[in-house]
Amino acid sequence: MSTTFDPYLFSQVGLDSGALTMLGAIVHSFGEAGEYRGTVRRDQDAMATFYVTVDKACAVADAKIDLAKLASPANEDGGCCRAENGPRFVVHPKGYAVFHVSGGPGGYAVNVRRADENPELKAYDSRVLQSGDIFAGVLMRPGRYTIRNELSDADAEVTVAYPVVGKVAYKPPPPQDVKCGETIAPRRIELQPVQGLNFRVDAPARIRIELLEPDDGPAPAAG
Amino acid sequence: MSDITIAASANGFHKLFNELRDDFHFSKSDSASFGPFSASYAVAVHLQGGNLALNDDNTIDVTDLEIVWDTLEVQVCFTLPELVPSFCIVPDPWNGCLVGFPGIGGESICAPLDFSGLVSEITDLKATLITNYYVDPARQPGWSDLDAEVNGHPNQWRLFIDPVWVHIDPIDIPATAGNLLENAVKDAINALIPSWVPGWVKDLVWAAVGPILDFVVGLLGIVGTIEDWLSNLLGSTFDLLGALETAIADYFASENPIDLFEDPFPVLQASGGLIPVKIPIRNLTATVNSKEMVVVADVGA
Repeated sequence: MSTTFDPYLFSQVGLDSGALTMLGAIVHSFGEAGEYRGTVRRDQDAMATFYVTVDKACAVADAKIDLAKLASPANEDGGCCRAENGPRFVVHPKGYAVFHVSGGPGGYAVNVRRADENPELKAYDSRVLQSGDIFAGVLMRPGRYTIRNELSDADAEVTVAYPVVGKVAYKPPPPQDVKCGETIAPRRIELQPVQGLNFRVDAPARIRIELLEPDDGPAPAAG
Repeated sequence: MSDITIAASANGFHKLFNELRDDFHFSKSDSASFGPFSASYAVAVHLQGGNLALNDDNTIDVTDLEIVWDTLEVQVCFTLPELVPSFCIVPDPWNGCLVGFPGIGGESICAPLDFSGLVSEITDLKATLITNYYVDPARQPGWSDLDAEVNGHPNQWRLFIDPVWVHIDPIDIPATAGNLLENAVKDAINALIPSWVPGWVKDLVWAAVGPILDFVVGLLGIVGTIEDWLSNLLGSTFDLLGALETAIADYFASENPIDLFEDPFPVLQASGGLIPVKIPIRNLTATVNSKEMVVVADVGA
Protein backbone atom coordinates (compact mmCIF):
# COMPACT_ATOMS: atom_id res chain seq x y z
CA MET A 1 0.00 0.00 0.00
CA SER A 2 1.47 3.34 -0.99
CA THR A 3 1.58 6.09 1.61
CA THR A 4 0.07 8.58 -0.82
CA PHE A 5 -3.09 6.55 -1.13
CA ASP A 6 -3.31 5.14 2.37
CA PRO A 7 -7.10 4.96 2.86
CA TYR A 8 -6.76 6.46 6.34
CA LEU A 9 -5.47 9.69 4.81
CA PHE A 10 -8.83 10.29 3.20
CA SER A 11 -11.22 8.70 5.66
CA GLN A 12 -9.94 10.45 8.80
CA VAL A 13 -10.94 13.94 7.87
CA GLY A 14 -10.69 15.52 11.33
CA LEU A 15 -7.80 15.94 13.75
CA ASP A 16 -7.43 15.25 17.46
CA SER A 17 -4.27 16.18 19.32
CA GLY A 18 -5.08 13.45 21.85
CA ALA A 19 -5.35 10.73 19.20
CA LEU A 20 -2.68 11.33 16.58
CA THR A 21 -3.11 10.15 13.00
CA MET A 22 -0.93 10.55 9.93
CA LEU A 23 -2.04 14.14 9.46
CA GLY A 24 -1.06 15.38 12.92
CA ALA A 25 2.11 15.69 14.99
CA ILE A 26 2.99 16.96 18.44
CA VAL A 27 6.20 18.84 19.11
CA HIS A 28 7.30 18.83 22.73
CA SER A 29 10.45 20.08 24.41
CA PHE A 30 11.56 18.27 27.56
CA GLY A 31 13.61 21.22 28.75
CA GLU A 32 15.51 19.35 31.43
CA ALA A 33 18.28 16.86 30.83
CA GLY A 34 17.63 13.34 32.03
CA GLU A 35 16.33 9.91 31.17
CA TYR A 36 12.68 9.64 30.20
CA ARG A 37 10.49 6.62 29.67
CA GLY A 38 7.53 6.88 27.32
CA THR A 39 4.49 4.79 26.58
CA VAL A 40 2.56 4.80 23.33
CA ARG A 41 -1.16 4.51 24.02
CA ARG A 42 -4.23 3.95 21.95
CA ASP A 43 -7.35 4.56 24.00
CA GLN A 44 -6.50 2.91 27.32
CA ASP A 45 -4.10 0.33 25.88
CA ALA A 46 -0.32 0.62 26.20
CA MET A 47 1.03 -0.30 22.76
CA ALA A 48 4.80 0.19 23.20
CA THR A 49 7.43 1.76 25.37
CA PHE A 50 10.42 3.88 24.43
CA TYR A 51 13.16 5.92 26.08
CA VAL A 52 14.31 9.45 25.46
CA THR A 53 17.70 10.61 26.63
CA VAL A 54 17.74 14.37 26.96
CA ASP A 55 21.39 15.25 26.95
CA LYS A 56 23.24 18.57 26.79
CA ALA A 57 26.07 16.82 24.97
CA CYS A 58 23.71 15.80 22.15
CA ALA A 59 23.41 18.15 19.18
CA VAL A 60 20.18 16.63 17.87
CA ALA A 61 17.54 19.36 17.59
CA ASP A 62 14.61 17.09 16.83
CA ALA A 63 13.98 13.45 17.63
CA LYS A 64 11.31 12.12 15.29
CA ILE A 65 9.37 9.48 17.17
CA ASP A 66 7.13 7.48 14.87
CA LEU A 67 4.34 6.12 17.03
CA ALA A 68 3.04 3.81 14.28
CA LYS A 69 6.43 2.13 13.98
CA LEU A 70 6.82 1.84 17.73
CA ALA A 71 3.39 0.28 18.05
CA SER A 72 3.97 -2.11 15.16
CA PRO A 73 5.20 -5.53 16.24
CA ALA A 74 6.72 -5.97 12.77
CA ASN A 75 9.13 -3.12 13.34
CA GLU A 76 10.63 -3.68 16.71
CA ASP A 77 13.39 -1.13 16.51
CA GLY A 78 10.90 1.71 16.03
CA GLY A 79 13.26 3.34 13.57
CA CYS A 80 15.82 3.97 16.23
CA CYS A 81 18.48 2.46 18.29
CA ARG A 82 17.09 -0.29 20.40
CA ALA A 83 18.05 -0.14 24.02
CA GLU A 84 17.79 -2.99 26.45
CA ASN A 85 14.14 -2.36 27.29
CA GLY A 86 12.94 -0.52 24.19
CA PRO A 87 13.90 1.95 21.48
CA ARG A 88 15.87 4.98 22.63
CA PHE A 89 15.89 8.47 21.18
CA VAL A 90 18.35 11.21 22.02
CA VAL A 91 17.77 14.95 21.91
CA HIS A 92 19.23 18.20 23.30
CA PRO A 93 17.34 19.77 26.24
CA LYS A 94 16.44 22.74 24.03
CA GLY A 95 15.53 20.43 21.17
CA TYR A 96 12.19 18.83 20.43
CA ALA A 97 10.60 15.43 20.37
CA VAL A 98 8.29 15.14 17.36
CA PHE A 99 5.58 12.55 17.92
CA HIS A 100 4.10 11.56 14.56
CA VAL A 101 2.37 8.66 12.79
CA SER A 102 3.77 7.36 9.50
CA GLY A 103 0.86 5.15 8.51
CA GLY A 104 -2.15 3.14 9.53
CA PRO A 105 -5.19 4.14 11.55
CA GLY A 106 -3.26 5.96 14.30
CA GLY A 107 -5.23 7.16 17.32
CA TYR A 108 -2.09 7.36 19.45
CA ALA A 109 -1.18 9.39 22.50
CA VAL A 110 2.03 9.33 24.53
CA ASN A 111 2.72 9.39 28.20
CA VAL A 112 6.27 10.29 29.23
CA ARG A 113 7.77 10.47 32.70
CA ARG A 114 11.24 10.61 34.22
CA ALA A 115 12.75 7.16 34.17
CA ASP A 116 13.62 7.41 37.84
CA GLU A 117 9.87 7.20 38.54
CA ASN A 118 9.93 10.10 40.97
CA PRO A 119 6.24 10.38 41.95
CA GLU A 120 6.62 14.08 42.66
CA LEU A 121 7.44 14.78 39.04
CA LYS A 122 4.33 14.96 36.90
CA ALA A 123 4.23 12.84 33.77
CA TYR A 124 3.74 14.43 30.37
CA ASP A 125 0.52 13.28 28.73
CA SER A 126 0.03 14.33 25.10
CA ARG A 127 -3.73 14.29 25.64
CA VAL A 128 -3.20 17.43 27.67
CA LEU A 129 -0.90 19.69 25.67
CA GLN A 130 1.22 22.02 27.75
CA SER A 131 2.30 25.58 27.20
CA GLY A 132 5.17 25.50 24.70
CA ASP A 133 3.86 22.43 22.87
CA ILE A 134 2.96 22.67 19.22
CA PHE A 135 0.27 20.62 17.55
CA ALA A 136 0.87 20.59 13.79
CA GLY A 137 -1.54 19.16 11.28
CA VAL A 138 -3.03 19.18 7.83
CA LEU A 139 -6.69 19.13 6.85
CA MET A 140 -6.82 17.36 3.51
CA ARG A 141 -10.49 17.29 2.79
CA PRO A 142 -11.81 20.60 1.47
CA GLY A 143 -14.61 22.06 3.57
CA ARG A 144 -15.53 23.96 6.70
CA TYR A 145 -14.38 22.75 10.15
CA THR A 146 -14.74 23.69 13.79
CA ILE A 147 -11.69 23.86 16.04
CA ARG A 148 -12.19 23.36 19.75
CA ASN A 149 -9.92 23.28 22.77
CA GLU A 150 -11.76 20.75 24.88
CA LEU A 151 -9.99 21.90 28.03
CA SER A 152 -11.02 25.55 27.78
CA ASP A 153 -14.02 25.40 25.47
CA ALA A 154 -12.35 27.95 23.20
CA ASP A 155 -13.35 27.49 19.61
CA ALA A 156 -12.67 28.73 16.11
CA GLU A 157 -13.52 27.89 12.53
CA VAL A 158 -11.37 26.96 9.60
CA THR A 159 -12.16 26.64 5.91
CA VAL A 160 -10.04 24.57 3.51
CA ALA A 161 -10.26 25.60 -0.14
CA TYR A 162 -10.93 23.11 -2.93
CA PRO A 163 -7.84 22.34 -5.09
CA VAL A 164 -7.74 23.89 -8.54
CA VAL A 165 -5.63 22.64 -11.43
CA GLY A 166 -3.95 25.85 -12.50
CA LYS A 167 -1.43 26.97 -15.08
CA VAL A 168 1.41 26.16 -12.71
CA ALA A 169 1.90 23.30 -10.27
CA TYR A 170 0.19 24.04 -6.95
CA LYS A 171 2.37 24.48 -3.88
CA PRO A 172 0.70 25.26 -0.57
CA PRO A 173 1.61 28.54 1.15
CA PRO A 174 3.56 28.49 4.46
CA PRO A 175 1.69 27.02 7.43
CA GLN A 176 -0.85 29.06 9.36
CA ASP A 177 0.16 29.81 12.94
CA VAL A 178 -2.66 29.60 15.49
CA LYS A 179 -2.46 30.48 19.19
CA CYS A 180 -4.35 28.00 21.32
CA GLY A 181 -5.09 28.00 25.03
CA GLU A 182 -7.82 29.89 26.86
CA THR A 183 -8.70 31.28 23.45
CA ILE A 184 -7.95 30.38 19.89
CA ALA A 185 -6.61 33.09 17.61
CA PRO A 186 -7.38 33.80 14.90
CA ARG A 187 -10.97 32.64 15.23
CA ARG A 188 -11.59 32.42 11.51
CA ILE A 189 -8.95 30.73 9.43
CA GLU A 190 -8.83 30.38 5.66
CA LEU A 191 -6.52 27.64 4.44
CA GLN A 192 -5.41 26.70 0.97
CA PRO A 193 -5.40 22.97 0.07
CA VAL A 194 -2.94 20.91 2.21
CA GLN A 195 -1.67 24.07 3.90
CA GLY A 196 -0.23 23.27 7.33
CA LEU A 197 -1.63 24.42 10.66
CA ASN A 198 0.67 25.03 13.64
CA PHE A 199 -1.17 25.37 16.95
CA ARG A 200 1.15 27.03 19.45
CA VAL A 201 -0.19 26.08 22.85
CA ASP A 202 -0.08 28.61 25.68
CA ALA A 203 -2.41 26.89 28.17
CA PRO A 204 -3.49 23.27 28.66
CA ALA A 205 -5.21 22.07 25.52
CA ARG A 206 -6.68 19.14 23.69
CA ILE A 207 -7.40 20.30 20.18
CA ARG A 208 -10.15 18.65 18.24
CA ILE A 209 -11.03 19.63 14.67
CA GLU A 210 -14.21 18.31 13.10
CA LEU A 211 -15.70 18.64 9.65
CA LEU A 212 -18.87 20.73 9.58
CA GLU A 213 -19.52 20.94 5.88
CA PRO A 214 -17.56 19.28 3.09
CA ASP A 215 -16.67 21.11 -0.11
CA ASP A 216 -16.89 18.81 -3.11
CA GLY A 217 -15.74 21.44 -5.56
CA PRO A 218 -17.45 22.75 -8.62
CA ALA A 219 -20.23 20.60 -10.01
CA PRO A 220 -19.18 18.70 -13.14
CA ALA A 221 -20.20 20.43 -16.36
CA ALA A 222 -23.51 19.17 -17.71
CA GLY A 223 -23.36 16.92 -20.74
CA MET B 1 53.66 -12.09 -60.25
CA SER B 2 51.06 -13.90 -58.18
CA ASP B 3 50.12 -17.51 -58.86
CA ILE B 4 46.35 -17.03 -58.39
CA THR B 5 44.11 -14.10 -59.34
CA ILE B 6 40.37 -14.12 -58.67
CA ALA B 7 38.08 -11.25 -59.54
CA ALA B 8 34.50 -10.46 -58.58
CA SER B 9 32.57 -7.81 -60.47
CA ALA B 10 31.24 -4.77 -58.66
CA ASN B 11 27.81 -6.30 -59.06
CA GLY B 12 28.97 -9.56 -57.48
CA PHE B 13 30.65 -7.68 -54.66
CA HIS B 14 27.41 -5.80 -54.08
CA LYS B 15 25.54 -9.10 -53.68
CA LEU B 16 28.10 -10.34 -51.18
CA PHE B 17 27.76 -7.10 -49.23
CA ASN B 18 23.95 -7.28 -49.23
CA GLU B 19 24.03 -10.79 -47.75
CA LEU B 20 26.36 -9.57 -45.04
CA ARG B 21 24.22 -6.48 -44.38
CA ASP B 22 21.04 -8.53 -44.06
CA ASP B 23 22.60 -10.74 -41.41
CA PHE B 24 23.48 -7.81 -39.15
CA HIS B 25 21.40 -7.56 -35.99
CA PHE B 26 22.12 -5.52 -32.91
CA SER B 27 20.25 -5.34 -29.63
CA LYS B 28 21.05 -3.61 -26.38
CA SER B 29 19.38 -2.40 -23.20
CA ASP B 30 20.61 -0.24 -20.37
CA SER B 31 19.42 1.92 -17.52
CA ALA B 32 20.88 4.71 -15.45
CA SER B 33 19.94 7.14 -12.72
CA PHE B 34 20.38 10.85 -13.31
CA GLY B 35 19.47 12.29 -9.89
CA PRO B 36 15.90 13.56 -10.19
CA PHE B 37 14.99 10.88 -12.72
CA SER B 38 16.10 7.54 -14.10
CA ALA B 39 15.86 6.22 -17.63
CA SER B 40 16.15 2.93 -19.43
CA TYR B 41 15.98 1.74 -23.00
CA ALA B 42 15.78 -1.42 -25.09
CA VAL B 43 16.69 -1.43 -28.78
CA ALA B 44 17.00 -3.93 -31.61
CA VAL B 45 18.05 -2.92 -35.12
CA HIS B 46 18.76 -4.32 -38.55
CA LEU B 47 20.25 -2.72 -41.66
CA GLN B 48 18.63 -2.13 -45.01
CA GLY B 49 19.28 -0.36 -48.32
CA GLY B 50 22.54 1.40 -49.00
CA ASN B 51 24.48 2.31 -52.11
CA LEU B 52 27.88 0.69 -52.54
CA ALA B 53 30.65 2.25 -54.59
CA LEU B 54 34.05 0.66 -55.27
CA ASN B 55 36.76 3.28 -55.83
CA ASP B 56 40.00 3.23 -57.76
CA ASP B 57 41.87 4.28 -54.62
CA ASN B 58 41.15 0.82 -53.14
CA THR B 59 38.35 2.07 -50.89
CA ILE B 60 34.67 1.27 -50.58
CA ASP B 61 31.98 3.87 -49.92
CA VAL B 62 28.60 2.95 -48.52
CA THR B 63 25.97 5.67 -48.50
CA ASP B 64 22.29 5.80 -47.53
CA LEU B 65 22.56 2.61 -45.51
CA GLU B 66 19.53 2.61 -43.24
CA ILE B 67 19.25 1.50 -39.63
CA VAL B 68 15.79 0.18 -38.90
CA TRP B 69 14.96 0.38 -35.18
CA ASP B 70 12.76 -2.72 -34.91
CA THR B 71 12.59 -2.02 -31.20
CA LEU B 72 13.21 1.42 -29.73
CA GLU B 73 11.66 1.62 -26.29
CA VAL B 74 12.54 4.28 -23.76
CA GLN B 75 11.27 4.63 -20.23
CA VAL B 76 11.66 7.66 -17.99
CA CYS B 77 10.91 7.35 -14.26
CA PHE B 78 10.60 10.07 -11.66
CA THR B 79 8.92 11.00 -8.40
CA LEU B 80 5.67 12.91 -8.18
CA PRO B 81 5.33 15.84 -5.77
CA GLU B 82 4.34 14.90 -2.22
CA LEU B 83 0.59 14.89 -1.71
CA VAL B 84 1.13 16.64 1.62
CA PRO B 85 4.36 18.60 1.34
CA SER B 86 6.57 18.94 4.38
CA PHE B 87 6.24 22.27 6.18
CA CYS B 88 8.11 24.02 8.94
CA ILE B 89 6.84 23.83 12.52
CA VAL B 90 9.74 25.43 14.38
CA PRO B 91 11.87 27.85 12.35
CA ASP B 92 15.49 28.27 13.30
CA PRO B 93 16.98 31.71 13.95
CA TRP B 94 18.92 31.60 10.68
CA ASN B 95 15.87 31.49 8.42
CA GLY B 96 15.93 27.73 8.08
CA CYS B 97 13.76 25.14 9.73
CA LEU B 98 14.57 23.40 12.99
CA VAL B 99 11.60 21.05 13.11
CA GLY B 100 9.44 20.11 10.13
CA PHE B 101 6.22 18.22 9.56
CA PRO B 102 7.08 15.09 7.59
CA GLY B 103 5.75 15.15 4.03
CA ILE B 104 3.39 12.43 2.89
CA GLY B 105 3.51 10.75 -0.50
CA GLY B 106 5.95 11.27 -3.36
CA GLU B 107 5.30 8.21 -5.47
CA SER B 108 7.51 7.10 -8.36
CA ILE B 109 6.02 6.66 -11.78
CA CYS B 110 7.44 5.55 -15.12
CA ALA B 111 6.45 6.84 -18.55
CA PRO B 112 7.14 4.30 -21.29
CA LEU B 113 7.67 5.55 -24.85
CA ASP B 114 7.76 3.32 -27.92
CA PHE B 115 9.44 4.62 -31.07
CA SER B 116 9.85 1.20 -32.70
CA GLY B 117 9.93 1.37 -36.48
CA LEU B 118 12.01 4.55 -36.74
CA VAL B 119 14.70 4.61 -39.42
CA SER B 120 18.08 6.28 -39.04
CA GLU B 121 20.79 6.59 -41.62
CA ILE B 122 24.45 5.75 -41.74
CA THR B 123 25.48 8.84 -43.61
CA ASP B 124 29.07 7.84 -44.14
CA LEU B 125 30.81 4.49 -44.11
CA LYS B 126 34.24 4.30 -45.74
CA ALA B 127 36.13 1.03 -45.76
CA THR B 128 39.04 -0.90 -47.21
CA LEU B 129 39.49 -4.64 -47.64
CA ILE B 130 41.67 -6.55 -45.23
CA THR B 131 42.62 -10.21 -45.09
CA ASN B 132 43.08 -12.33 -42.05
CA TYR B 133 44.46 -15.85 -41.67
CA TYR B 134 42.18 -17.88 -39.42
CA VAL B 135 43.19 -20.97 -37.52
CA ASP B 136 40.13 -22.65 -36.11
CA PRO B 137 40.56 -22.94 -32.32
CA ALA B 138 38.73 -26.28 -32.48
CA ARG B 139 41.43 -27.74 -34.69
CA GLN B 140 43.46 -30.36 -32.80
CA PRO B 141 47.24 -29.88 -32.78
CA GLY B 142 47.94 -33.32 -34.30
CA TRP B 143 45.54 -32.98 -37.21
CA SER B 144 46.68 -32.84 -40.81
CA ASP B 145 44.99 -30.38 -43.19
CA LEU B 146 42.94 -33.32 -44.45
CA ASP B 147 41.84 -34.21 -40.88
CA ALA B 148 40.88 -30.58 -40.31
CA GLU B 149 38.76 -30.51 -43.48
CA VAL B 150 37.07 -33.82 -42.69
CA ASN B 151 36.26 -32.60 -39.16
CA GLY B 152 34.97 -29.27 -40.43
CA HIS B 153 37.72 -27.10 -38.91
CA PRO B 154 40.04 -26.11 -41.77
CA ASN B 155 42.26 -23.04 -41.73
CA GLN B 156 40.91 -20.14 -43.73
CA TRP B 157 41.91 -16.93 -45.45
CA ARG B 158 39.20 -14.48 -44.55
CA LEU B 159 38.33 -11.29 -46.35
CA PHE B 160 36.81 -8.43 -44.36
CA ILE B 161 35.40 -5.01 -45.13
CA ASP B 162 37.31 -2.84 -42.68
CA PRO B 163 35.45 0.41 -42.01
CA VAL B 164 37.79 3.37 -41.65
CA TRP B 165 34.90 5.26 -40.15
CA VAL B 166 31.19 4.83 -39.57
CA HIS B 167 29.02 7.84 -38.97
CA ILE B 168 25.40 7.45 -37.90
CA ASP B 169 22.96 10.34 -37.94
CA PRO B 170 21.34 11.27 -34.60
CA ILE B 171 18.18 9.29 -33.91
CA ASP B 172 15.39 11.27 -35.48
CA ILE B 173 12.82 11.19 -32.68
CA PRO B 174 9.57 12.52 -34.13
CA ALA B 175 8.12 15.86 -33.05
CA THR B 176 5.15 13.99 -31.58
CA ALA B 177 7.42 12.85 -28.71
CA GLY B 178 6.10 15.68 -26.51
CA ASN B 179 2.53 14.46 -26.91
CA LEU B 180 3.57 10.86 -26.38
CA LEU B 181 5.41 11.77 -23.18
CA GLU B 182 2.51 13.86 -21.91
CA ASN B 183 0.06 11.01 -22.52
CA ALA B 184 2.41 8.43 -20.99
CA VAL B 185 2.79 10.51 -17.81
CA LYS B 186 -0.96 11.11 -17.65
CA ASP B 187 -1.62 7.37 -18.04
CA ALA B 188 0.97 6.53 -15.37
CA ILE B 189 -0.59 8.97 -12.87
CA ASN B 190 -4.09 7.70 -13.63
CA ALA B 191 -2.86 4.15 -13.10
CA LEU B 192 -1.36 5.18 -9.77
CA ILE B 193 -4.54 6.74 -8.37
CA PRO B 194 -6.83 4.03 -7.00
CA SER B 195 -10.36 4.09 -8.36
CA TRP B 196 -11.87 4.31 -4.88
CA VAL B 197 -10.32 7.65 -3.90
CA PRO B 198 -12.76 10.56 -3.82
CA GLY B 199 -12.75 13.21 -6.53
CA TRP B 200 -11.14 15.86 -4.34
CA VAL B 201 -8.07 13.62 -3.89
CA LYS B 202 -7.70 13.26 -7.65
CA ASP B 203 -8.02 17.02 -8.05
CA LEU B 204 -5.38 17.48 -5.34
CA VAL B 205 -2.95 15.18 -7.18
CA TRP B 206 -3.48 16.91 -10.52
CA ALA B 207 -3.23 20.36 -8.91
CA ALA B 208 0.16 19.40 -7.39
CA VAL B 209 1.41 18.15 -10.76
CA GLY B 210 0.04 21.10 -12.73
CA PRO B 211 0.39 21.16 -16.51
CA ILE B 212 2.03 17.83 -17.26
CA LEU B 213 4.50 18.97 -19.89
CA ASP B 214 5.70 21.89 -17.75
CA PHE B 215 6.10 19.51 -14.81
CA VAL B 216 8.07 16.96 -16.83
CA VAL B 217 10.21 19.54 -18.62
CA GLY B 218 11.12 21.16 -15.29
CA LEU B 219 11.77 17.87 -13.54
CA LEU B 220 13.92 16.40 -16.31
CA GLY B 221 15.73 19.69 -16.91
CA ILE B 222 14.83 19.73 -20.60
CA VAL B 223 16.18 22.71 -22.50
CA GLY B 224 14.92 22.81 -26.09
CA THR B 225 12.53 20.29 -27.55
CA ILE B 226 11.57 16.99 -25.96
CA GLU B 227 12.49 15.11 -29.14
CA ASP B 228 16.00 16.58 -29.12
CA TRP B 229 16.34 15.78 -25.43
CA LEU B 230 15.33 12.15 -26.00
CA SER B 231 17.62 11.85 -29.03
CA ASN B 232 20.49 13.22 -26.98
CA LEU B 233 19.64 11.00 -24.00
CA LEU B 234 19.84 7.88 -26.16
CA GLY B 235 22.57 8.89 -28.58
CA SER B 236 24.99 10.71 -26.32
CA THR B 237 24.14 10.20 -22.65
CA PHE B 238 23.71 6.45 -23.07
CA ASP B 239 26.18 6.54 -26.01
CA LEU B 240 23.89 4.26 -27.97
CA LEU B 241 25.09 5.65 -31.31
CA GLY B 242 28.71 5.04 -30.32
CA ALA B 243 27.89 1.48 -29.31
CA LEU B 244 26.08 0.91 -32.60
CA GLU B 245 28.89 2.42 -34.67
CA THR B 246 31.34 0.14 -32.88
CA ALA B 247 29.08 -2.89 -33.37
CA ILE B 248 28.79 -2.20 -37.11
CA ALA B 249 32.54 -1.67 -37.47
CA ASP B 250 33.32 -4.86 -35.52
CA TYR B 251 30.71 -6.83 -37.43
CA PHE B 252 32.24 -6.00 -40.80
CA ALA B 253 35.91 -5.73 -39.80
CA SER B 254 36.46 -8.81 -37.69
CA GLU B 255 33.38 -10.89 -37.05
CA ASN B 256 31.84 -11.63 -40.44
CA PRO B 257 34.03 -12.00 -43.55
CA ILE B 258 32.59 -10.94 -46.87
CA ASP B 259 34.32 -13.97 -48.39
CA LEU B 260 36.69 -16.74 -47.29
CA PHE B 261 39.02 -19.28 -48.83
CA GLU B 262 39.86 -22.60 -47.27
CA ASP B 263 43.57 -23.30 -46.89
CA PRO B 264 44.77 -25.57 -48.37
CA PHE B 265 42.24 -24.82 -51.10
CA PRO B 266 40.39 -27.89 -52.45
CA VAL B 267 40.98 -28.29 -56.17
CA LEU B 268 39.70 -31.87 -56.67
CA GLN B 269 37.34 -33.75 -54.37
CA ALA B 270 38.29 -37.22 -53.14
CA SER B 271 37.16 -39.96 -55.54
CA GLY B 272 37.99 -43.54 -56.56
CA GLY B 273 39.94 -44.18 -53.40
CA LEU B 274 42.16 -41.15 -53.97
CA ILE B 275 42.54 -38.38 -51.43
CA PRO B 276 41.39 -34.85 -52.47
CA VAL B 277 43.80 -32.51 -54.21
CA LYS B 278 44.41 -29.31 -52.20
CA ILE B 279 46.83 -26.49 -52.80
CA PRO B 280 48.24 -24.32 -50.02
CA ILE B 281 47.54 -20.61 -50.39
CA ARG B 282 50.05 -18.01 -49.27
CA ASN B 283 50.22 -14.21 -49.28
CA LEU B 284 46.56 -13.64 -50.05
CA THR B 285 45.62 -10.00 -50.54
CA ALA B 286 42.49 -8.28 -51.82
CA THR B 287 41.96 -4.91 -53.46
CA VAL B 288 39.13 -3.10 -55.16
CA ASN B 289 38.90 -0.73 -58.08
CA SER B 290 35.88 0.93 -59.61
CA LYS B 291 34.98 -2.19 -61.61
CA GLU B 292 35.75 -5.18 -59.42
CA MET B 293 37.31 -6.80 -56.41
CA VAL B 294 40.61 -8.56 -57.10
CA VAL B 295 42.05 -11.28 -54.87
CA VAL B 296 45.63 -12.43 -55.52
CA ALA B 297 47.62 -15.14 -53.78
CA ASP B 298 50.61 -17.43 -54.16
CA VAL B 299 50.66 -21.19 -54.11
CA GLY B 300 52.75 -22.33 -51.21
CA ALA B 301 55.02 -25.29 -50.80
